Amino acid sequence: MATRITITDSGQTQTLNSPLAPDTPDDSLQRISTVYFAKKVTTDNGTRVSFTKIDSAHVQRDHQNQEIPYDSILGKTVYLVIETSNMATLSIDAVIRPSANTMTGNTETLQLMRFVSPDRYEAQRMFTVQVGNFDALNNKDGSHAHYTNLQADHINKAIIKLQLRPDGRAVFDEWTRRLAEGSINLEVAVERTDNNPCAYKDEQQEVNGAGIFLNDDTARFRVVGKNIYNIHHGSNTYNTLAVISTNPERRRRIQKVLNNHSTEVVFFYYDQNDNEHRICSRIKETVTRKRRVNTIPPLAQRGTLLQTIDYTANRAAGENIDAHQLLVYSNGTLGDGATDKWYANQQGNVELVNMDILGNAGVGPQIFEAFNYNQNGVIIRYGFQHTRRRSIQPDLFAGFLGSLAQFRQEGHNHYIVSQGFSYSDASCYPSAEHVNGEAGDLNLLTTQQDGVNTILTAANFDYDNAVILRNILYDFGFILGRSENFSNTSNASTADNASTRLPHTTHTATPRHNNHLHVHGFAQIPDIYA
Amino acid sequence: MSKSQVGNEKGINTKAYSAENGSLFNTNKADCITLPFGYDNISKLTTVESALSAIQDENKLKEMSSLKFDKDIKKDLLLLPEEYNVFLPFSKNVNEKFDRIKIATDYLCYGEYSLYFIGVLNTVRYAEPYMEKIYLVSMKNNHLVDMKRIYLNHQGEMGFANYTLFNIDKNYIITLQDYEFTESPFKLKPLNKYQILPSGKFSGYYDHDGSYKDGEEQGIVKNHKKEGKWVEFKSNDHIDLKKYPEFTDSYTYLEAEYKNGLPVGKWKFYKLLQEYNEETGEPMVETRKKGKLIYTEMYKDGVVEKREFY
Repeated sequence: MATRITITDSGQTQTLNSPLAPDTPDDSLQRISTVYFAKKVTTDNGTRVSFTKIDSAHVQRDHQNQEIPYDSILGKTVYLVIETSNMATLSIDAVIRPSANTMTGNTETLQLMRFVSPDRYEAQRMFTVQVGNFDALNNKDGSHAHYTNLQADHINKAIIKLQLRPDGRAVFDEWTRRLAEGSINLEVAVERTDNNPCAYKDEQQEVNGAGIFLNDDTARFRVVGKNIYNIHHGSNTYNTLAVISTNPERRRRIQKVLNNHSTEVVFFYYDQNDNEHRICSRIKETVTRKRRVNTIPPLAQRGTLLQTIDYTANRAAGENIDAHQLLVYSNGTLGDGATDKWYANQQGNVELVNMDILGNAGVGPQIFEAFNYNQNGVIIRYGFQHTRRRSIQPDLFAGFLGSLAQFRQEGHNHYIVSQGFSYSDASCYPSAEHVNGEAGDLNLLTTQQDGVNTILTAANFDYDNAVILRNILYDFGFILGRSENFSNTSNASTADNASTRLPHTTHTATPRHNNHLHVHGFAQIPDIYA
Repeated sequence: MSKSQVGNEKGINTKAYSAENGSLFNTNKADCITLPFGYDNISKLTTVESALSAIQDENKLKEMSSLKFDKDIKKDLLLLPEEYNVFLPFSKNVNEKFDRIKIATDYLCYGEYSLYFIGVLNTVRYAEPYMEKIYLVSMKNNHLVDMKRIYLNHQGEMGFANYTLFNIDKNYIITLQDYEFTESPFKLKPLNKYQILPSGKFSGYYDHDGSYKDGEEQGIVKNHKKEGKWVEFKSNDHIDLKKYPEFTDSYTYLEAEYKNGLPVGKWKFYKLLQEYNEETGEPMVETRKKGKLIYTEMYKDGVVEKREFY
């Protein structure tokens, strides 16, 4: 029912006179029927758009089809949709406020970042929006003409696109500190900009003052604090991140929202039609940086032995891994193998996530499937073979997920299999370059597409698709790579008949790179406040 | 480098190789290979490029497979103690469940000895198995006398690779060249030569008689064989670092003795104390010193009779 609240220019609300009692239904009323937070969904190859409600009455599910106990995350981009009738072209004011003081210390309306077409966000406390105006759906070129159903389906909506964050890092940190692992409900108050009356929800008469939505248990908008990665398909025209080169234009693909008070990271992918896909969530582990040094300290200088990780069973089961065991000491890690190596603790920490989402148990030479996401047209599937080095920096993981998603969306069905990044303690026996989750190896692609490894000169090496994958990995931030010069007249690809090398790689034969693609030198992902 | 330290331990059960298994070992002289065999330009394969070119030479791989590695055999047919300084010893690093072990039909005839080629195929890294190791196995009357790994194509994690190429010349001198491809700058390892002694055992072959010294061993060479007291500084597979937490590597300082190229007397294995170059990680030869005694071996007729740890 309508309340006795109005919105002032400052965004504050104040109590007005009480509404009149309802009489009989009247479909001719000017009405704001519902207000909700939503995510945009497109169909028909991005030509039709709709909005899916995100609130406690419309619970989202994760990649394992488990219900997610919240609706959005601080820093996330969402749509605020105001559905009206008989209000064409009228302007509406909206404010958003927390239902409790646990996030900001009060329940005053929030200043949040509103999308301003075509490519920026502006701090606003009161969002004024016109019914039937679709600027919130504009792409980076300021156009929404690709949506063919706006007039038919959305002309009575007022749509705001915004990011659930303040304009300064300090305030954001304060919010996330207060919120910590908790959740905050956000309510929305709306009112006609001209302050004339309108009916709210299914009330039967137009009233003065504001209507409040999402303020009871029928539907609440529950927001939490977590780290976010927003990953964009290369053809996503809604990606407004920085242009990093022109002709052809290349943009950064990924942005992160760093949350200093959460260890959870949620990875979102925005496909070529800007559909949002929640890919997965991982917990960041903070570990001491490592560097491989050439001399192994005597036992007395290694500190306390914290953990022994034994790979005897793995090796006996046919896993071709070189470490016999890792001895994790308080001062570093001893990699015990044919030739021992010492990974000395360095100044500072590095954050790593475990890429092995499925966590398939067992040992052996087979490919261990680590993730198989297949929802709404996005497929991300990868595994590991002959390695227990399955930890990676979150930035690189975002680039990896984006690369695999786009590669698959472009019609390449290869099972991507990794030969490993870093051990969970940031060491990487026997290598020096794979420390700190900053480099990884991938099996070469084959025409069988089954993930089983091959070599550059084999008849089943799928050079053409390997080139495509390498270029995509590059575009998602894996700037540097290692491979070898080679020629191959025995495989189906003809582009490698004469001596060649995979793009964005340097010829490296020490160590060998004839049986994997090594990627490293990842372009760090800027924070949303950078 | 030196053969020997361990040699054939007393008590090896040779019955396993004879009688019922005899048919595994071809005796048809028509299948004896002609020498030279292997990589005849091995002494010139001294750079990354030339080594890679040889390692990947399809014709050479075909030549090796033309030995016809056709018969599966069991690992326990070949269990012999190997030298203390062997990288990837057969007993520890051949995994019978996943490595296919095959004996070749063609073999090397050397007087009353037959030298068989035993291939170990890696079946897990690629869709198709590939030859990872080849051992040359010396036999007399279906009895195993000695074995030596002559070929290696070990593809480790992150491209760390170890290779051994071989050549057997017309005088039955076996030349082995090891290569290591790691993140460190490529460094050519010493060329090793071996001969087949009248006993059927392999022993180091040295081009020149007189005193010999390199970064790993020093002593007197007589008739192209080690003779008398030798000192050797090598990584020792018998040193379990877990038992010696004060050690930072498994190198030993060995005081050995040879007669006609075969080990004799009491060998003393001390810890080799050495410092490493901080930049390269390479041991600094000038810092080497003899540490504490770790174990001894007693030899008789070239065979170790007793190993005693201290």
